[in-house]
Amino acid sequence: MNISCQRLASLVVRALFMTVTKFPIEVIPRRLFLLSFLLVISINGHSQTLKEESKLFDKPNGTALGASVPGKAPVKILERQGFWIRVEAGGRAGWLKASSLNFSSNPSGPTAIDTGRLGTGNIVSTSAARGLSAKDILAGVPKVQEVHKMQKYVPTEAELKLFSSQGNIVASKQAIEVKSLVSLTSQSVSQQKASGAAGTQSPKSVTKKATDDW
Amino acid sequence: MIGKNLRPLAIFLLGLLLALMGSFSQANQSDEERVGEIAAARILGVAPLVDVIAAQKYINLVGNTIVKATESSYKWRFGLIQTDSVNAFATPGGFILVTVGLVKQLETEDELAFVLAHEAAHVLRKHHYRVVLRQRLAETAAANLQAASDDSASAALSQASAQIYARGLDKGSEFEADRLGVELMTRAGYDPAASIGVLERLQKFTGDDPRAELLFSTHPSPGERLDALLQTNIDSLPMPSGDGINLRAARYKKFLNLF
Repeated sequence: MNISCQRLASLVVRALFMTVTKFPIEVIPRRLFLLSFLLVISINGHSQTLKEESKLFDKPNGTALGASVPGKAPVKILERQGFWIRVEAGGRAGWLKASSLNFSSNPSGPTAIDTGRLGTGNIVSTSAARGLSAKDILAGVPKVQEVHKMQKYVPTEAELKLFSSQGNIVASKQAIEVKSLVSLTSQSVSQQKASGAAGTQSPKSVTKKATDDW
Repeated sequence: MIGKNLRPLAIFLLGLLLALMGSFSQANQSDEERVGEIAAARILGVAPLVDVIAAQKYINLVGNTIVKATESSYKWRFGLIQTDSVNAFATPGGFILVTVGLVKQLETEDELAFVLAHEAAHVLRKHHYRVVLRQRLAETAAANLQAASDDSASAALSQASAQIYARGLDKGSEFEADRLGVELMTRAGYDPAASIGVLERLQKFTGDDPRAELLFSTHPSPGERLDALLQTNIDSLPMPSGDGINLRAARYKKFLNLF
């Protein structure tokens, strides 16, 4: 009876460990198991996985540090600077490009089951929230006079200029275009295949196609 | 002789033609704006504007800084609305509403810039207006939305727009608004990486949090949005200096203390 209880407890703890940490339990020495479990829970802000094998860097845009971290490995996010993220992966800490992480595998977010163990990162809901739900919008009464009030707050040209200079906002002189690199590649390939031509596709026309597809 | 007699008539006809052309193009423009006004009224009926002029002015300054570079003909109006829900809305014709619940989650002006730029992108791409136009087309037979001038048609349009905002757009439109939003904010001089910050903050909400319920039911998950944005050339966009970012973050803190 005692043994089976112990076994059951061990199974539950193992399952919990793997759920929370997303780490295969076999890789942790038995003696260090409890310690690592507590450690992982305590530092867990967000947990992501690596898209593919990646090297850690000593700083953003810095130099690579030793061996690579295998693809799909769970990583803990420690901080972010621009498009670089400092992570802990495989017992080592270092910087990675944000694009090397898979964010939709995150245990938090809309699909998350809040176990109460996801660390300080999660926001606890308040029961007294005054909401704006789908039901509220469908049942609400329109208030046109509120819309007309908005006109009062439109800034003048002079106010805008002052605001920009006080906030050191300098409009970019470069041409800025945010392109989806994934659909760019796949579309280029499919279009090249379709036409049988080896010529390169104009990036602008390809992006246009990708963005219009909704 | 005949030509001289006809000249006033010709001038009159030309004038009439120009006036008709003018009113036609204005009618087109104002239909989009009218639809947007009805939709915005619906949202403001549930969550009114925050009654603090300085806060509303600030939101409009950030918003107009972003849309200035677009050189669009919209009359942009931005509003901060009183609700704990975490969300932002764009309605056709340039009305943009952001909730107190959302701005309180943000920490810098550049993060707010991404939220407003994402919404401005919906307006510029006419995402909601196109849904309204499609619905009109589908309902022409019922002739409810087509006769736009009477009260019952306005009520029907109001109800139809409520449904659009309760149901949300397709995922593709949301991803597009993220990409174009980053483009707009960067062009205006804000930090494109702030977009990552906003989505990170949204990621902290759990699915059953009532404040994020509508946002999550009408948008792809923040994780999916992060993945999609990071699959673009976003990390090679020009970054503004850190000084400016800190300056603006300080002014954002002051804004948060206004209400």
